Amino acid sequence: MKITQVLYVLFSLVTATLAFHPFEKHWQNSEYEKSVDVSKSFVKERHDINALNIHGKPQSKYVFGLEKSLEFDTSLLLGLYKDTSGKTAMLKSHKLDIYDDDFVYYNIIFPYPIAPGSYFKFSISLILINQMVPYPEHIPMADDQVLKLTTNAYPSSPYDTLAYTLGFISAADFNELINTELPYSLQRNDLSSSVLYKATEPIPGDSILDFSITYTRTAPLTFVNTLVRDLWVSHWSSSLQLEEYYEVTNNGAKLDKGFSRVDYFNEKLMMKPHHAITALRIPFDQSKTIFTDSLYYVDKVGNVSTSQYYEKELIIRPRFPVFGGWNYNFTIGWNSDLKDFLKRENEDTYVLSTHILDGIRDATYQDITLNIYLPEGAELVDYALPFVSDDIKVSHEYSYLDIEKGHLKLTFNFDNIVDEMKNLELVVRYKYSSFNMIEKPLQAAFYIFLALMGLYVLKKIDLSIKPTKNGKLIKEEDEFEEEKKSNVDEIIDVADE
Amino acid sequence: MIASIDNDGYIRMDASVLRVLKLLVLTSIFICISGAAIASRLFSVIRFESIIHEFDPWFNFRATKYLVTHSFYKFLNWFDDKTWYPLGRVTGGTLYPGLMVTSAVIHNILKKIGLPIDIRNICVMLAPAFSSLTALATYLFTLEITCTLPSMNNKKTPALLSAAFMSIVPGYISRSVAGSYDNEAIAITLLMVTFFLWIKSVRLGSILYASITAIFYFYMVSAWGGYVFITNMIPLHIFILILMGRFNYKLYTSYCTWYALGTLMSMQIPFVGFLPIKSNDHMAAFGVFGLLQLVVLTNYFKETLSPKRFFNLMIAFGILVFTFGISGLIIATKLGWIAPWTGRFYSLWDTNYAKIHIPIIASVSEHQPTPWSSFYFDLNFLIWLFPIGVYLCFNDLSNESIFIIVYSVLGSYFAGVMVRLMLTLAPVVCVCAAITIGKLFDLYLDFKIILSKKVYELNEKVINKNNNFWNLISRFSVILTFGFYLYFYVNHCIWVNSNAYSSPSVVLASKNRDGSNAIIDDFREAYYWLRMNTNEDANVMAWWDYGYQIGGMADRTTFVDNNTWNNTHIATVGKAMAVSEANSEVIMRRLGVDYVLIIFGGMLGYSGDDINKFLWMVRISEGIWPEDVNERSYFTDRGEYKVDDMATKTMKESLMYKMSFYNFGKLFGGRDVYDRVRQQRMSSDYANNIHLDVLEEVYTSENWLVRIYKLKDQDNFGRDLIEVGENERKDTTRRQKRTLTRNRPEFDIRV
Repeated sequence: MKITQVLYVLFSLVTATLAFHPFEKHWQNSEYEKSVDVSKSFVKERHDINALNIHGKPQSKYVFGLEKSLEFDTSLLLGLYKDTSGKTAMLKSHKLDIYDDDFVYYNIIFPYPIAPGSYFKFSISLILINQMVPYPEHIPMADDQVLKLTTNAYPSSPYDTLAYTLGFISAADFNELINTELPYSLQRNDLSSSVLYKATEPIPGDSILDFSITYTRTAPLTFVNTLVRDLWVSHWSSSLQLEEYYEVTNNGAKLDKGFSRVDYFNEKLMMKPHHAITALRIPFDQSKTIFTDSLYYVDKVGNVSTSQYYEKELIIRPRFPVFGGWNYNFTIGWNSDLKDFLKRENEDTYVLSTHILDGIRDATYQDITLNIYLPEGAELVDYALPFVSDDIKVSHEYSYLDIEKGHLKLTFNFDNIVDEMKNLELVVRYKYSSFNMIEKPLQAAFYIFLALMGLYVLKKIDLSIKPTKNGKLIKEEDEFEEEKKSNVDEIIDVADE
Repeated sequence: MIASIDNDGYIRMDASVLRVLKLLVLTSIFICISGAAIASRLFSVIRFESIIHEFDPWFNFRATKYLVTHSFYKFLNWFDDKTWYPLGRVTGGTLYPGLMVTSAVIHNILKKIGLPIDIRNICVMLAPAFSSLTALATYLFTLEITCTLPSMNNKKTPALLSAAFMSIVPGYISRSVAGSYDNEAIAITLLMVTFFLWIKSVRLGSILYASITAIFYFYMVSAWGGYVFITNMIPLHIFILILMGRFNYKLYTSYCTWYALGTLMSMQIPFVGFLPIKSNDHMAAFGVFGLLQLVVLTNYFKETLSPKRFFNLMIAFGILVFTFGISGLIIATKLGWIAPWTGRFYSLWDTNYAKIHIPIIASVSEHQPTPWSSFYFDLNFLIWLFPIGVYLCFNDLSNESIFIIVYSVLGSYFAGVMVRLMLTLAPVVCVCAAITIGKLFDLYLDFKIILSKKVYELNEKVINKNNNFWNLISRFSVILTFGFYLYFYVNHCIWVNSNAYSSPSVVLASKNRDGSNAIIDDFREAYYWLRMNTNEDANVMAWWDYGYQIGGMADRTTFVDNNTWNNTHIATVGKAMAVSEANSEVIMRRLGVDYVLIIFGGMLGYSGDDINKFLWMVRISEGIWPEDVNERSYFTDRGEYKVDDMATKTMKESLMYKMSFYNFGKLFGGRDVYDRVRQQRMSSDYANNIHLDVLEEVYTSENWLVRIYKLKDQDNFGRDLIEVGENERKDTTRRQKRTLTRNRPEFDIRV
């Protein structure tokens, strides 16, 4: 009971601070629907808001609050609305530089100012990672995995809300973990594939209450700690060579005791949907040509023979089933036709556009390093990213037959990415003249020529010591021996050559 | 004009054109030989992948990686705390660095010239690359020999043949396939180069060549423990030459140069250190060095003194030297200045020595005496040409051919003692066989007599036509026979390479039921599991065979490994496996064991598993603790090695047995449990009753080949883990009984 009391105190404190709000409440949420989709290993939230301008003047800025605890787990925050022609368009948003103990605020900019007393309907999509925890943490191997999700029971909005609905989608065996009275009551309503909670009363802004649910999920929580993605642009072979190094952890439920192969075999867990990672599926981009014989799948001790390749996707099986808390790392790679990625803008300027990742289905990526290696002699002109990122690093890396500066290496860093964002494009424009292209073979040929010449010169040097008398060469007394020796030497010389 | 036909119908060619032609033909022959040498070693790479094989190469590979990532001095001072826990190993001082340095140098040079090839691929491909150099060195070596044999008309034929034989001889390939990254991979090349240079310096009496010999000898010392073979071969050669009265100053120059430089240089290798002046292996070289000085002195006296005085002086001198030598040797041994006669030394003379006295040496399969069939398997038809080649060397007795004779005698003896020393025999067999065939082809392939018009006319006058016909028949029969043998040799070598010597042994090939190829990759599966899912400082106990692999692939600390330098430590691990759970727990806790890894082949039928090696663990630990472990008690009264219900009590209680068969019964779902390796059946009840209390199963690979157990933490309440287990079992059996009585089956009337 103690925790709930503390929560009450906190809650009242939060409501009390409303008076000292850093910005004024120009809006009121006449309708607010929050739906939480848990079908994947990450949470997709959608907030459908119908906002009413209650201020005296037209307004175009709306402030959206996000719980502080989610600040570093947010993968994506996107505002969308339907424009006059019925098409979905994006709303601009940026983080507000205001410090608050419970919320992080985002400014959503409407496309046009909303007159006082008018409504504006829009939605905010959120992708949150690291939200589910196994509950309980350790389970027997054959049991189903139960996950716990905690979210804010109320609208994440600094404005007051009149009508509020909270929905959970795709949660099997849904259970709520609440042992206390809600300050603003919610009425549960079970539907076929979702559970809805409707507020019976208006909810004041900035309300926070942790609301935990549990549900069953017979799939792993695939979590990629590190992904290093190398793209090598090769003009000579006209291919884009991809190599990806993954460090994967399963964040799902851990085994309560050691792994027993006999149980795993007898229960036929290999065949069932299960909370261990037995296969990772990587769908291919159908619009690109992949050279299938270039596919490889290795880890630090060599080739892993258990990968399968189909038209549409690559299925890679780890060496062992990866249960909760277990790790696996591996490297995969393949070559694609460069024509699908590269456009020649003019004589010596090229534009390379590529996806930021080829995602593993249903996976979360903590830290992605994307390296693009442009051929030796290339010059970066500019680049474009789908979202704001830290500055890129430009460096050089020596690779095969690089003699001068090495390949031009561009390094991008992303974090908190989920596989659904894999279609985001990265565009790089660079200069690479046709002279650069023939420079390398010419250089290689030149150095080989030098080496051969050096060998020739070395062969010409005579270092032998011959006995002399008064500065003149004298003949060996044992002529026969000498002759025989020279014969053999000659034979051996020929052999040496 | 390249060629013209003169009036007599002979084709005339310019000498320079011929020279170029000859060079081209020779070059293409060498390219073919190199190609054959490399290609025949790539079976495993093509069938499996570019991977390091077996056990020792994994250590070499790990050491090479260390060298590449650290500096050379760090490498020499490398103290490896990941092996021989808790002792650690002074790795830098106890290895032959030649191999690692070679690949690191190649790696760095290639990197410098714009070819950053992965170090693993360099290690995998090193042996095939060096084998093609070995063929070249064999060519030069044979050429040196044949040039001193006056009866040999065509000097190059045997040389080229020996290179071709050497490139694909199975006895050598067994140690140099791609991926077998072992010291022998470069050592045989160095052996041949050293011998070639030695012959050359003996022939020329050249200080330059003797110095180069010393340099390659140093390289050999840095690469392989088998350098002792050279250290004894060369003095023996000199000694025999002196005995035969063939002493000359060329011998003196080359031997003294080689010995002084070679010994000084070899002492620079940390692992060798002061061995060249201490160990018995090097005494012969030292003795011959001294002897040579005496011989030179005697030669001087012989020239200056009268024969009578010289004779008396010699007698006195001889007795003095002999007494001083022997007593010096005895005193030095007694005082411990020179190393005592080691077990390995005895086992060279008495093949049964190791079996009786040193189980750890006997437990290594490559230390077994060679069965006669493997001579044919590894050398094919060369083995019966070999004595003929030696005979031919006797025919033209030169200083150089005496070397071949000495080499073949020593090589044959050592190859008979130990299977692995077949490797040192292979080159001399190739050389001798090539000399034989060269000689035969000299005689029988020489068609000049028949083809040339003038000689033909001459012949017709002297001999009748009939004789000429038989001459041709005999020529063709010999040529065809040997042509067939040569063809068969190639066929045999490739067959052997592909079937016997190209398995990485880390990965096993098998067939699916439909006949398609399948790969059993359990070792790497389990090692990788260890690497990914255990603490980085976890200590893994396994039998020493797997030490290097665990270090290389699982990257975890091991207790014992293939560098079997501490017999007691190995015996401790063996004892922990051989005794009962309660006793074993004490040992494991004291050692600091976290995980135990065993190999179990009963499910798959893999015969090299730990239960089959178990007797060696028992024997080795019995050698240290005869009161705790007794080999006899693991055999039934009838002397059988049983693992089923009939197994002895000691066997059933031993930790290794329990770990192997724990949970194995459940796999058969109530049917009789069948061990596919031992071909023994155990009852289901018995098999399901095998239990473990101090260990917990944490991983078993897909085909049950590798099983990993974790040593349970000590009980929180200070109870004995075995007692806890016993009580639990009592409880469950009681509960099971209760549930059985409660759920009494209902009897229905069947309609």
